[in-house]
Amino acid sequence: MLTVEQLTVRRGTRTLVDAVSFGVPVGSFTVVLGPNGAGKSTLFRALAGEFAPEGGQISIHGRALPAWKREELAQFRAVLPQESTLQFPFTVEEVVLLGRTPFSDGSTSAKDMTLAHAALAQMEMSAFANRLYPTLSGGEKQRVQLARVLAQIATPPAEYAPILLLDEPVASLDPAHRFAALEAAKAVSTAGGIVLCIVHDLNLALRYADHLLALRDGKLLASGKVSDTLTPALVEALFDVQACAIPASKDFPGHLVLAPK
Amino acid sequence: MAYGPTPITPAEFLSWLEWRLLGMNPTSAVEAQRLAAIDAILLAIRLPRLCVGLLGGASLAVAGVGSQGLFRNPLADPSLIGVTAGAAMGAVTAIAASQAAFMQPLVELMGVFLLPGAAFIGGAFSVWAIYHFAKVEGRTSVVHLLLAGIAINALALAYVGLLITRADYGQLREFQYWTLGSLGAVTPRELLAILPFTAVPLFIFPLLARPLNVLLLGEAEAGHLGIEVQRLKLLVIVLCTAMVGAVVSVTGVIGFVGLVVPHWVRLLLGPDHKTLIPASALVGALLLVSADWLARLLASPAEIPIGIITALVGAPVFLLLMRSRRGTAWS
Repeated sequence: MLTVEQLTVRRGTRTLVDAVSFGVPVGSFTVVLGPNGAGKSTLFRALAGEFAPEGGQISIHGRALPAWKREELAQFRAVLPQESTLQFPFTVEEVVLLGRTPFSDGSTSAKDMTLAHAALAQMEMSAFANRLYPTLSGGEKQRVQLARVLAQIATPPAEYAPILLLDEPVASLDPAHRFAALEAAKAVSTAGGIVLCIVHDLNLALRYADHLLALRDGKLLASGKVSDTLTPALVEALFDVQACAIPASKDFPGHLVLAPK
Repeated sequence: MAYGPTPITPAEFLSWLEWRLLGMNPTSAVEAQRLAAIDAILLAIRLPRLCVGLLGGASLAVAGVGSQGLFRNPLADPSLIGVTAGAAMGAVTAIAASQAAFMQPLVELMGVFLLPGAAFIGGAFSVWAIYHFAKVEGRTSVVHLLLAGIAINALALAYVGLLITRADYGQLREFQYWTLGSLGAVTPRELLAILPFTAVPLFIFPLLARPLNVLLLGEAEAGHLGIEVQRLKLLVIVLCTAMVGAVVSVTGVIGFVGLVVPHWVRLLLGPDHKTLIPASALVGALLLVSADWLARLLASPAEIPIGIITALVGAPVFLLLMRSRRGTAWS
């Protein structure tokens, strides 16, 4: 369980996140939607514990975030930032194995190796295991980073459900790999974990998410089940665009079509 | 050990070892006299010089690994965090100030430790200043750290340049020694003075291999993987300052070792700190001792500043290695 109460983040005189409250139950996939500058990434970084918010409280599995030790959190919670800047020539396999750091005593166990390769296989990156990370394309790098966070939360302690925080994980991926990445995240939530994911692709949100949080100007505009809340009316209010819902057919699920206003 | 203004043959060296280690007595009075002379040269000059070369080379190289890991930038050099420039600033200040009459009690009190002490304080001070300026919202920003490092380096260079324009001839020679580096002034006392500041960090650094690997992913990412990032960064800065400050204080500024040795090792063995740290220590130690040997050999009986040798030998090898498999990954 991830609970946020009256979370407020300020930078100077600007309020980036304004008294936001919500709860995310275990076994759910929640998308965070909102226009650029709505405070999604700020909210995300506060949830990741990268800074102390000006007001409110975040708790994870019933314990306040600041009360958790970093090493404890790292065993069941993984965070994927929007972009990663690794310049050193590690191999792809080495990068994914870094995700196993919270469980390692200094050497790489056979189990770590198996989990790393399973995560690479999920991201369809097995063939790249021995390639040097800096030689990959942007989308390939992102798939390696996704494999790293999947490997990190593959063996959480029994008492804590794994938590996956993803900030625009599929922005640089091609359509097939967008599906693969979100399928992998979905597998984490259906196995009882918590997935919180920022996306801009509303149809991916419709397809994979159970819950949504809609942010605009730092405020929570809407939250609830995707099937009830992700309506053309919400999309129009959130993004200042025209939206139209196309009902599900034999071959395709229901989806949203957007047009400029 | 054998090479120098007083040549010592391998046979003589062996009989010295037999005499020292195995207690074998010299066979004649002439040989006994010769052995005593060799003994004095080896123990008072060449052995300390060799040890400082090994320790200094290992320290400069490992400090390079540390600062490159800290900045997550393969081009970061220990001088970037201000130790080298600050230490040189402290040293030239001491040289200039030691002329003044009121300074004499302090000069006598400190003895040979005056310059090393001043260099160490200068290095520590500028690191403190850079670290202070680089704090943004309670965290150390790498960009601010690098920019502050550039500013303080420029300030220190200007300061040293100003003192050089006011220096007399004897002081100029000393300034040159400080800016280009030499192992020529090393005695057992200097070896003893730097031993704790270099040996202790060299033993601690390998323990930081895993957190340093994770830190390369990024500071936020390392935090999410359970690393106490702020504590790690402070520890790396303190260890690097101790090592580089101590070495610079007895040898002057020897460039290049801290920048290039970690590069070489990374190009050959990859960026994993578990192998990078010990391998860099080894290569750094061998590089500095070889460079010192060349410095004494090429212009015998005079010496070329060792910093020139390390740059002349290191740069071409570095360019060649850049073309290896690992090297193609640099962008």
